[in-house]
Amino acid sequence: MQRILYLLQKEFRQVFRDRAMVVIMFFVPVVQTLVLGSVMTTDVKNVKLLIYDADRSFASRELCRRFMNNPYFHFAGYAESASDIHEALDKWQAQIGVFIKPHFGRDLERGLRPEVQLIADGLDGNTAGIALGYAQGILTSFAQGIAIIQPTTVPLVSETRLWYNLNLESKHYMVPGLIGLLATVVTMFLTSMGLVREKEIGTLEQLMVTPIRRTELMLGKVLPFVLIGLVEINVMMAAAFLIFKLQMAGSYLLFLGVSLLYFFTSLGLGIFISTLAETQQQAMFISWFFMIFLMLMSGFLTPVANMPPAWQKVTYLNPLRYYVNLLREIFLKATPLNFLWNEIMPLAIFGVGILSASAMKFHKRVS
Amino acid sequence: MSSRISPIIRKEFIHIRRDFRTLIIIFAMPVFMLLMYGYAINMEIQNVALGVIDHSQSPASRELVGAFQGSKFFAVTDFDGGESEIENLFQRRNAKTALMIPHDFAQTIGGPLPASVQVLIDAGDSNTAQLIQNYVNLILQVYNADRGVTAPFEARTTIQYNPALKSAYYFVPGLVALILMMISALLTSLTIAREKETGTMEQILVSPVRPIEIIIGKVVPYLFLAFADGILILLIARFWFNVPIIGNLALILLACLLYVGVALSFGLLISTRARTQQVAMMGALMGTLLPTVMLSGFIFPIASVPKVLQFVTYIVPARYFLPIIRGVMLKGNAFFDLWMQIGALVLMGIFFLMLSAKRFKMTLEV
Repeated sequence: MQRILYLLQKEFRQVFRDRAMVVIMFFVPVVQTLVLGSVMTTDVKNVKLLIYDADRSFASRELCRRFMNNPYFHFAGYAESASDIHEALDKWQAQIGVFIKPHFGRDLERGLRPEVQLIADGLDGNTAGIALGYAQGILTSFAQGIAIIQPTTVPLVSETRLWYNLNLESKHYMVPGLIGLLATVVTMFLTSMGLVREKEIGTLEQLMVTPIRRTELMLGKVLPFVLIGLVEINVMMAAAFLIFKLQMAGSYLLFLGVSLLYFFTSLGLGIFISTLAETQQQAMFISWFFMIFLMLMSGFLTPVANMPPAWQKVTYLNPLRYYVNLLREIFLKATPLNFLWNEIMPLAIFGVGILSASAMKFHKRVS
Repeated sequence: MSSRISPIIRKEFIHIRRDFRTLIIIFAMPVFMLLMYGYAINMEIQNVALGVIDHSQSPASRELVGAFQGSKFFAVTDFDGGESEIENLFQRRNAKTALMIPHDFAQTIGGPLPASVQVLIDAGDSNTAQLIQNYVNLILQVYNADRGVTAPFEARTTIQYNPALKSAYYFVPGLVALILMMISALLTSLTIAREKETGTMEQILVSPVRPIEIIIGKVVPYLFLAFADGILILLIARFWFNVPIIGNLALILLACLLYVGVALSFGLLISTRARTQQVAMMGALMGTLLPTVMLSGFIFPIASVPKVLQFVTYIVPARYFLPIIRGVMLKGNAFFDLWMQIGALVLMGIFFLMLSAKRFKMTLEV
């Protein structure tokens, strides 16, 4: 027991000796949480919009006004022709164009159902879909205004009520995931790099000839990063609260407990990586490889439900998937423990499994 | 000058050849990543679980539910509970949205007064929530049109460039940018730090080689490697994912070479500033992976970035490369459409190289 404490002391001293590492471990994640938390938004705003009004009647000008005043669009000017719009989309000057055909106002009065054309840049399908949705909404409310003057069959409308994220801010969705991701970086990366560096430099052999037992060695190398990881997520939470006013809806204790559970897995992965690599460069590549997999296949950036079915099955192997889900549920929806077993159980199994497998492999390596 | 650079280039190549494992990773990893994430990153929603609370239980309400069942966006499940159980429904993740039909639906629909239904959405994921709203409105539009509700005018939608709105067309070029950036920065970020750690740096210092020669000598071999990587992943993008190449292929390759050069220089810059490989690695990670994924327009549009932070995006090389590769591949952009982005990349590359040489000189004196 005493020996573990000595090891802990040594590890902490080594880690904090390099000031650059301290900055990277604490300052950078906080900054990234703040910067990326405000940037990472799938909210569609300021979509560049061009209008070609071939009619210039009272009705068409009113329609134009509605588009220009809509906060989701950034009005980029009037086009002189339809081909102007196509060219603007070509040159990235606009993402969506509205083409009001000639005689729009006149045909409207006569009930002749004139046509309005929406032209969208479909490259970014997500933005295109949502921007078109906004545009349709503007057209619909414009149509409803006219329908009052020309009564027809009354349409069915839907009234939307949003739960949990009333302002539809991506931040609430992204920041918990971000905290999970950055915590992974620290625990997985630093563990693997730390262990491999000792191997590379040769001090590992020196440790082996001391009376320290292998379990104690592993614990001593791994515990510092658990502690650092826990401190880090609290620091990031504090930053998120202070700057974004993000408050956790659920239990903070549950959040800490779940994070601790997750760290077993990420640390286990770190140890596993250290047994695979001979040099720090290799450890780095392998860690990056895992990192990208964890990040892109966890539902952190893009929803798991959108992936092809085979891919969705693969995500069940991704511990970060469960952790991000847990963070979001606790953060946003205050989901209590008894609804979270579907995520906690796999995470526990992963944690214990990976950690013991890696530990055994590590033992074999050093003996 | 060139007589001193070529030995350095040869030496780097020998180093690279010796580390076979890294070589495999450099070529296998991007292929794997492209194949994996080309399918994973997908913003098109489907089969969103929709719980129906039908207080009306009439033929009219069942017809409405039928309209939702017929859509591929929603997976309709019956929900027996009432409004008080919605919280449970969302927390257990049994549904993402619920449709509540009022008990007087059959009487009001078709009458003079406006009829409405309630749509409750779990807005934790605001993007999906937005899309759900859109699709609900779309379904209702069709429903209304079928009942004879006509709009006073007609809206026709044309989608340019990617009519099927396929995610792959947008994200696969983005992945090319991400992968190239990562590989390049990773490769060079370690070279100088490693020499410092193993002590061979001093041997280089006592030779008559100038700092800029060392820098160029270190970048060139990796330029070849990363460019070869780039060609490989472009081939996959074109022939596996069927992303069309409408524009000039030579322009794409040139842009790739330029971008790779910028990324390598950036990695080298990190390497000159780091004392140990560990710091170099973390620096490369923080400086390339996360900013490129989040701040370059790869997934999240730059237009949505808060104005305050837009300046950060200007220093991410991928921000300039993405319009180039997407524009040339999918829109058929020519050089003149993109000269600003190309110019920005050239400037960045020169800037990073100069800065690396300068920093290098300073550590020599230390």
